[in-house]
Amino acid sequence: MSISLVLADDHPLTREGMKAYLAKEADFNILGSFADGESAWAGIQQLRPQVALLDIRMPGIDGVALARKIKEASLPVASLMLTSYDAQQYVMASLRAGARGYVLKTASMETLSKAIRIVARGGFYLDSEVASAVEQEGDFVPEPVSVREREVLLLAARGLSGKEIATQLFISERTVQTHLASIYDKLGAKNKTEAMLLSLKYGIVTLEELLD
Amino acid sequence: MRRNLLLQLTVAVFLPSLGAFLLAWIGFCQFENTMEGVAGSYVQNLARGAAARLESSQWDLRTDGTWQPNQYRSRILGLGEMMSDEMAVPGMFAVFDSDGNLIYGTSDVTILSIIWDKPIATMSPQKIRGPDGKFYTIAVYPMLQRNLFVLAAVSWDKLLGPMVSLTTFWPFIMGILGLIGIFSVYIMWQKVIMPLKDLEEEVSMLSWGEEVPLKNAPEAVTELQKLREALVVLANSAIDKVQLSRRYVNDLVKVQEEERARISREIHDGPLQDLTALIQRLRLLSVDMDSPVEREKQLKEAENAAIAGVKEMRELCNNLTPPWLDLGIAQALTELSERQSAQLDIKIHLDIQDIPDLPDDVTLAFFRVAQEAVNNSAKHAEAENVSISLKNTGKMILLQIEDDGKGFEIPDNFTELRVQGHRGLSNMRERMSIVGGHFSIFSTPGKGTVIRCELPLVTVQ
Repeated sequence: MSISLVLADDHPLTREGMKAYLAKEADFNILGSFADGESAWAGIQQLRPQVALLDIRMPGIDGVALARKIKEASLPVASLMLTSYDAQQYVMASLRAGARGYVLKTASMETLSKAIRIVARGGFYLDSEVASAVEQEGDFVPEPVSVREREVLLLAARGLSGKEIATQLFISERTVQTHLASIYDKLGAKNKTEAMLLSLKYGIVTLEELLD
Repeated sequence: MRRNLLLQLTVAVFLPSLGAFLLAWIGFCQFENTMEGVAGSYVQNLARGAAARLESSQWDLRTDGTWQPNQYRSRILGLGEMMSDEMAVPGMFAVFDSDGNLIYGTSDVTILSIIWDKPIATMSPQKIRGPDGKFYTIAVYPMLQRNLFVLAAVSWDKLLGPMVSLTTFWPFIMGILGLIGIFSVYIMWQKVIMPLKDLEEEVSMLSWGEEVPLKNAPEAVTELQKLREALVVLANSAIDKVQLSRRYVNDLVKVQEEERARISREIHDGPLQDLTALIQRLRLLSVDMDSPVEREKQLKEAENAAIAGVKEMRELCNNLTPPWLDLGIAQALTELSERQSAQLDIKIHLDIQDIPDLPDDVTLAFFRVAQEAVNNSAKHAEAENVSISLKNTGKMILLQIEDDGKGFEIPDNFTELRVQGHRGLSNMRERMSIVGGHFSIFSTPGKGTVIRCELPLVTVQ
């Protein structure tokens, strides 16, 4: 079964390169490609692709706003961000806007194809370069986190401070820090954002839980 | 050595006033004593004189027990007549017997008879107040052999006249003067010294550029009020200045950040995308190695991406700082006009006449002004033609940029304009002033704009 796609990217060379990539995959069906946010939005509404590959920086409506529009209009379209920016805050902003995945433009053909397939199935994909602390192999399975650690991680992800988490879970702030350190260690994360992204990537938490 | 005003006023006005007051009082007392002495001796003399005349004449005791002057009577009368005369010696006298009966008296002696009713115990002259309310000095001279008393008196009014008034009014005048002095010191203290002191304290504590002194001092004199108002104006302008320079610095920082953001964006949208495309093509190439046609195609695309990247990088460099500025102002302006006329779709007429070699900063300043001016002409004034002329007048280098655009009202204040975010004009002016030149702009709505930059040759050499 083929996967229908649209591509939104304002830069002609990378757009063409991307199209050449996608054309290599027999099960990908490119419905359209757009050079700005407005025409992309019109195209998405009209073509209803399974996956929309969105550049973040575009004239008119940017990619993050497009993802949000798709989410708000409840279209059956999975947004996959395809960008040159590797800032984790961009990743978070995209995920909050409803994107199902985040891939850098420099990603390999295999990675891109894999991401598209996962996202089309309703899964979640995150480029290892934006949350790449552990390895590049792809088969890394993190040590399982405990129930309490998962709770701490979710609360931290919602923006609660260590003190607030401690109060809510009836534990000491020190214990919260210990749990977080343990999570970072297990996931190979260097900070809170990366821990969130990696726990998403490894399916420890779901996007819905995280953005609650 | 400086002394405070209150002390100086006290020394200069208050103390002299007080001194004058005291001296007047002392003088008054001394004068009173002296005059009493004068009046006393005068009266004594008068009594003695009258008695002497009486002595030298004969008085006859009549049978009825009264005395009567004898043939010398005329001599006594002569004295009495002389004394009653206003123009002659002031004074009066009377002769009483020991029982108090008036035997003889000068014409105005009725006053004395009343005085004589009072017992006069002493021989020395006395100052008394007469029934008419005036002061008199009287003296008694006894003629013991005849059992007669000569009583002489003189009115102070008559003897000392104006002197009396003066001695009476002197302390009042001086007292009033002293009081006026003291009062004026008080007024000075309240209306000048205190407000001045308040103002001095306020101004010395004031943090300039942030605070304003109080505008009104109700107690102060007009001059101080005006001084205060002037200070308020000064303080306000200091505040304006500080705020302006703060906004100016903010603006500079903002400009810098905007510039960085612009460069970052340009790199992202240009070379970064080209490099990405290059990577994509290389990856596609590795897939398509076996197909000669595909391989050729990917190689061509990769090359195109690389070429595009180089072009964009070069353009970026050119825009940041044009390397051809090194060739000199004439070449730089030529290059600029060729590029801008193509980019902005505008006709640029260039006229450059024997310009000497200019320092790099001057070249850059002229270049940037011309660049900005042509940009404005194309974008804001919607001009079709721009002429740039660069001349050497012998005294100065003159750059003039003239357009046939729609013109505009020239703002009064470039700095304000800059703070509002319109930096073009103030940038041009600042660039010229940094290299020692003068920037001027002439424009009328509907009649185009002329920009003139004058740089004295002296500053170039």
